[in-house]
Amino acid sequence: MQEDLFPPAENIAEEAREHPCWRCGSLVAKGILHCPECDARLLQEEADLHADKRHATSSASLKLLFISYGLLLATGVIHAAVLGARLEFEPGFNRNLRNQLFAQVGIVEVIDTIFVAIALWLGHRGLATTVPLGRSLRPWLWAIPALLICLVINFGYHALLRSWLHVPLIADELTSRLDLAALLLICVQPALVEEAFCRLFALDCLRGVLGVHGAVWISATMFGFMHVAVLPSVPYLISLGAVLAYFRVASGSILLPIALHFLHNLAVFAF
Amino acid sequence: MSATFEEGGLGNLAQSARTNQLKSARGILLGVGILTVLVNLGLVIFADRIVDAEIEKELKPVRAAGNVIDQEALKELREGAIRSLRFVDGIAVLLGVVFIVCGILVYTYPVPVTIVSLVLYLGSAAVFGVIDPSTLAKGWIVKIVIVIALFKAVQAALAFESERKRATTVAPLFPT
Repeated sequence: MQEDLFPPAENIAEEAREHPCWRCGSLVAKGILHCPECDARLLQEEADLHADKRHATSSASLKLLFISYGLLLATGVIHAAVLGARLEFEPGFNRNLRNQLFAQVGIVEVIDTIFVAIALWLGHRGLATTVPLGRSLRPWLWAIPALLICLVINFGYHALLRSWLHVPLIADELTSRLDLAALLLICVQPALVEEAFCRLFALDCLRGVLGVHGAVWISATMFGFMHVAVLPSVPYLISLGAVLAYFRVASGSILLPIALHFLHNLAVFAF
Repeated sequence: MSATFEEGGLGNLAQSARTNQLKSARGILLGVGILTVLVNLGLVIFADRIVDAEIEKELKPVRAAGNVIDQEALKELREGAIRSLRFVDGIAVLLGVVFIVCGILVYTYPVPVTIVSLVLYLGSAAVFGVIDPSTLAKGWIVKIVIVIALFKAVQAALAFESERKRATTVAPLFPT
């Protein structure tokens, strides 16, 4: 059941790479030490060479992943520092401050988009998942109830933070009114760019070297820390990231997490 | 035959070099973990005193100007600040415990543990940078050295794991 829903990434990555058996000539996936047709033992060096190549690819992808993750964190920290300084010197939240904050968010998102685009261009290996159509529809049906549960947890968690810690949440002010800027900067851009980085690049990179669950939770942790500018929300965002990542793996498509992320952020405005 | 032996020997040397890198990663993780737990445990315990000192620092010029302070609002602010500090430092203590656990498990699960450690180390540096931006500048060379060492440990763990898998699937050098 689990294998059906979450196909191992290694198998997918190796599918297209085959070489002919020295004895019968049938195509054998690289890295396999016995021909499935004639049972001939294949050269150890060849398998080793292939393993070395795979290791080098994983290592290079991970290097790129960590560099881009570090850059995204750095932008988040600078964003938070500027945000904090702005709020300290402004007496109250007004329309002018809101516009200034949205301008800042816009700049940060443009920088993030550039980093993510470069990372994807340089390092994404594209593990095309082969989930059959019937099975890939099932996660789409489960998506709406899962989104509702996430939203309930989101509102409950933030209500608890407000009442227990008495922490004013800047996100409350920014999401109080939906206009075109808010729609683009809080709903559309994060749904596209964050999903492209966390659920496409990071998840595929990590699935190459870890199991499905490990890759899901580590990419979700990255997603959470990337929202360091809204620090109190990080624990909730890690769990949301995991839910979105499981939907990406189960559906075999990035479209479902993008749609869910967009609807999630839109619902934050609605309620 | 001798080639095989030499290769085995070189392989063992490479594995021992990787083990050394994992060993240094273990040292770093245990060191960072213990330090994080001790420092943040101290902050959790003395949160009220830290908050009082900060409030006193803020109130000094207000009192000097002869303004009246709303004691009810001050009490609420103080309690909120203490709770927030304990919440954040409590999470930091947990993070320190995770680093220690990672240090202990680094030989058993080298790849996941080294990747998790690097993700958490970078993330925690960002979190503490947001809480107190001056921490970003403090010891930045040490932080860069730690990040590089952890990334080297990830690479070593990948090679270590790949070598271990290769060793378990034994096959002859020549086709039969």
